[in-house]
Amino acid sequence: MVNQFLLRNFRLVYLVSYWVRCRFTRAGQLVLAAIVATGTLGIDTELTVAYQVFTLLVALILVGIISSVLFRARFRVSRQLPAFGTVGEVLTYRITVENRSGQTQRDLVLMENLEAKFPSYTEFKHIRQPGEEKQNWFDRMVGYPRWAWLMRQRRGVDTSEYALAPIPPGKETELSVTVTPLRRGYIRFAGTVIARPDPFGLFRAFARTVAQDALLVLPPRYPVSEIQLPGSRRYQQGGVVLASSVGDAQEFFSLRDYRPGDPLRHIHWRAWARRGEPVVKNYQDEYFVRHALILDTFMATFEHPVFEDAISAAASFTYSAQQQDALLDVMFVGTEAYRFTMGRSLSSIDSMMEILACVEPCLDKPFVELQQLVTHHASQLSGAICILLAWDETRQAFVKTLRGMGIPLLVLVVSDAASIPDLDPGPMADQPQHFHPLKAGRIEEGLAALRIEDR
Amino acid sequence: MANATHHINPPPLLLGAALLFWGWRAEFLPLAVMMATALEGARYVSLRWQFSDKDFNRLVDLTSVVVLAITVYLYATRSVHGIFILAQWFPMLIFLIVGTQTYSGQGTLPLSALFLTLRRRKPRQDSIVAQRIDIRFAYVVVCMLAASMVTARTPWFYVGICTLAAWALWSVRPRRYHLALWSGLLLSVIALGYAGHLGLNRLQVIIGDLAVDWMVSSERDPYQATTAIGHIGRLKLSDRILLRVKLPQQAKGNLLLRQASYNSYGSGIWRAIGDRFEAVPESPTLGTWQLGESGTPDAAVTVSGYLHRGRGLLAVPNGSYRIENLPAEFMKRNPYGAVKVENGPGVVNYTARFRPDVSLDVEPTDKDLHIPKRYAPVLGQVASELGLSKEDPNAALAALERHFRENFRYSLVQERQTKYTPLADFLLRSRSGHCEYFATATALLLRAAGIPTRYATGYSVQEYSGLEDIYIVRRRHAHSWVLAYIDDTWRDVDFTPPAWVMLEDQAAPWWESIYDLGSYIRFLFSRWRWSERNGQWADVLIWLLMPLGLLLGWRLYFKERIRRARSKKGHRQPATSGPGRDSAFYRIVKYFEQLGLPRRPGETLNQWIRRITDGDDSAMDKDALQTALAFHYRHRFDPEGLMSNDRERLQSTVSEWVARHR
Repeated sequence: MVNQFLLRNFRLVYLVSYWVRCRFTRAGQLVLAAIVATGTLGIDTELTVAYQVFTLLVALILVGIISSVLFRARFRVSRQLPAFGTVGEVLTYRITVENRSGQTQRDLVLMENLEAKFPSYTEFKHIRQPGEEKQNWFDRMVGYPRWAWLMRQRRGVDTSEYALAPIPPGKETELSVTVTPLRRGYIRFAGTVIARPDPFGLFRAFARTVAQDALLVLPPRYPVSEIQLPGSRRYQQGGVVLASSVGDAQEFFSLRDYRPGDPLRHIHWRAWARRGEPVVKNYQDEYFVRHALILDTFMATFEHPVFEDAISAAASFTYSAQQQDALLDVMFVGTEAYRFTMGRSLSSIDSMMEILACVEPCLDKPFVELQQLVTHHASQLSGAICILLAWDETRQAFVKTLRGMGIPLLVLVVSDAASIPDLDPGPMADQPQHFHPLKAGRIEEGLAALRIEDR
Repeated sequence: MANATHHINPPPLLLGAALLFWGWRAEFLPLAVMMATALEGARYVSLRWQFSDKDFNRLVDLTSVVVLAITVYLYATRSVHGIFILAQWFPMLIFLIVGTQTYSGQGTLPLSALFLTLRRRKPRQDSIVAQRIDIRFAYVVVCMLAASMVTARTPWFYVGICTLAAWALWSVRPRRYHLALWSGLLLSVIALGYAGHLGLNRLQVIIGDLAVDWMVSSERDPYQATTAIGHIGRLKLSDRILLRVKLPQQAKGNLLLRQASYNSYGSGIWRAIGDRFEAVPESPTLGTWQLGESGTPDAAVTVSGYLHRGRGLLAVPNGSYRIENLPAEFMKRNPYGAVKVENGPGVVNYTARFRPDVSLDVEPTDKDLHIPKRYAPVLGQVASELGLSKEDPNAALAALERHFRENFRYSLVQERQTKYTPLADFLLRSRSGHCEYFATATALLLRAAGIPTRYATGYSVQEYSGLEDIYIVRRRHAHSWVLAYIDDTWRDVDFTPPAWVMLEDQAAPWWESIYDLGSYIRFLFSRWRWSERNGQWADVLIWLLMPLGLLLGWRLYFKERIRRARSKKGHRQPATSGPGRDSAFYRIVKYFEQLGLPRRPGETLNQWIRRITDGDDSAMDKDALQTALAFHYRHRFDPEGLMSNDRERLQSTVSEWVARHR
């Protein structure tokens, strides 16, 4: 009840502060702060003369607001975005602004308008800001820093205000913008605001333009070596269908007697000549290596760094797997259970990265859904990499079941618990080299160490 | 990329002018001159110091501790008004930060110095952490605000504010607008601001008057007193303790403390018609107000109580000539003895010195003998029955006192109305009523006997509290009585039967003692919070604050040192071992550090060198620097290490470079 009330207030505070930051220049913000101070301290006009400063400053802002109505310029804005970006990696894109009004426009600044939905109450309640435990009691209880962090994450990039060179009528100007994506997934640009300050340089008039774009931001990927799981090739149902692109369909296996219906091109003419009876070539069935990357998305409360590191680990493995001559099934549960197959020209790394960029945590479903998905396809799997977010009984039982099915496993547990290095391998006790607890926040290090161990 | 968030330098002399303006208004002119010279002098002095972010953090922390300590002190000693003093001192309090920024090599403050939350974040996580700000424009605004925190008025203040504002705005104006348009708009803003502040002041006066009227009427109205005469049913009076009174030694209870007196009666309402309140000048001794001439014999009574929002009517004995120990901004009194204070503390503990035999109230006028026509017949009838007319005043008083004592009784319950007016019913039929009946009847009957009278309201002091060892006055002890002009002075005349005290005390609820204890605790707390500047509590607080400040300073300073010492220990190991520690490139590092261009925490050598070379237009050999750096990196991080000839090349490149730039 109280939290919901606070949440509503956060929206208000956020909108007001956003409005102030966009509408007022730095000088204007200073004047606004002075208005608040003089308004508070000067409320008793008999006690101080602060009210004289107050009215002067209010008059300044009022004139600014009135003059903003006179700004009627029109612009066309377009963006040239790169194909994708990576979390934490600087990217540069260009913005072209065309002046469609009849006058030269000067003193303009451009601000990006990014789409960012307000978090719902449930999201706000379940998501934890990284480092929240270090905040003071008040901030933790009230949660505004978490709200501000969530909104920043949702916007996806920190943009600033960019000064534009004077634009003559009908001409264009180009702007280079450098940003650092804060999260993976699509960052959606709704449009831009082109602002011009009033004669005193305090309040800004706006000209809004629509320029919708989306930028795909991929999770960070780190180098991992090829993981050699001691698995064998497996018979792949539907392998004949896939034979044109995958499998060992052209490999000669043996000879057998002709059976009616055998294609003529399989007849081994020399053997027929020798034996006097038709003999056909027997080809090997569709057996090939198929690995699964099982990604755990189940969390009771959304621990941002842990989840992001798990995704990063998954992306790193997927990225390294593209060079291998094997299939890779990425399995996880989002709004439903998903299995995406990559390798042997089945699906490109780009589309797999896009999928991983958009994976969301699953806060409302049980782990058993992932278990069902995996066991359903287990017969085809040569081996699996499990990236888990915890090492509880359910997950240990899952690992035990998979091992029981004879699937070689590499288990990675990503967690920010202090006890992570001393985690008991449980069902992986007999293969400690295939069980790796990874500390959240030090995933790059963890993955690198993995490489060294497996060499 | 053109980022619009750059720093704008204040125009020359603006900072100094703002400081001088503040100094003039706040009466710190000599100090302001020094401060202005120090800040503006930076333009002509090339001397600069290199401060690290941690130095700035410490400076801001120190200033915050000082501001906090002064805030607590001012609030404890001057209550809410301390905030205004604090605001007035602000340019002085934050001068150190502005001065340091001005004389720092960087010329700006790290934003993280001002916000503790930012200090914990890593620059890599958040670009805002690395931001730097220039607080000089903000300082100009602070000076303008501080200059406005004075009561004294002069038209030059507005002129000064407008000049400073125009000066500051001129430097940030968009160049797109024509000078004439800009000036015209500014003039309209100044005119609008002027009209606005006149209007605001007028509005405040109107609202203030309304508010004062409302607030005073909720307590006691010095202009009129609406009596409960004519009301029926039981009067409900609260047990709330309003005053705590220390009586003079010779007095044995039953002192009357007056708040106001009135001279005109009609329809159950007493009014004070005539002169209005006039200001009482404060004596040189703080908190002492001389109401009239002192004399002997005199006595003193000390009264403690609450002032709602620092305003209210004082309860003082008739004949009070001096109020002591009452820190307030204004004190006003009317000719009928009502004393009003404004902008005082929330809790007062004042001493009223009074002469029991001499009243300072204005001499009687016709109003003090006026009898409303409506009551003239009944009053005339009773006066003649008692033979009050034409007798000497003292005899009339005695006769009336005897009449009330023998024939009347005190009652809080009024029965239903009869054909008489309420007053006539009291005098002729019911002969019972509360103090307002007795006082009104006495006042009017004495007037009928030719004695000038006034109706007084206030409190009767009679209940002694063993818990507090002081007399306490509850709301139900509110009382009314008469001032009669006898022997050329106004004397308190109270003919309400003494039983009223007993009767009202009987109405006290059973939980009164618990309530009293709570009330006492609240009073003690309030008194401590509002204790005067020279009071012992404030002194204790200050002595408490000092070690607290020292402790904070110590914590701020030594915590860092301990961390630094520890980190030094931790780093010693790699410093002595590890490849490339003997690299010649460290001579260049040392060279730049000596120049006052230290490497920031977390900055790689490459980033650092690039930062230095990017901002440098001199003939520095940047290529040689890059070559040396590349060799150094190989030396440090290449597992193969440097071959001996490469090492020599590094050595020679560095030596040549250092020699060229020394």
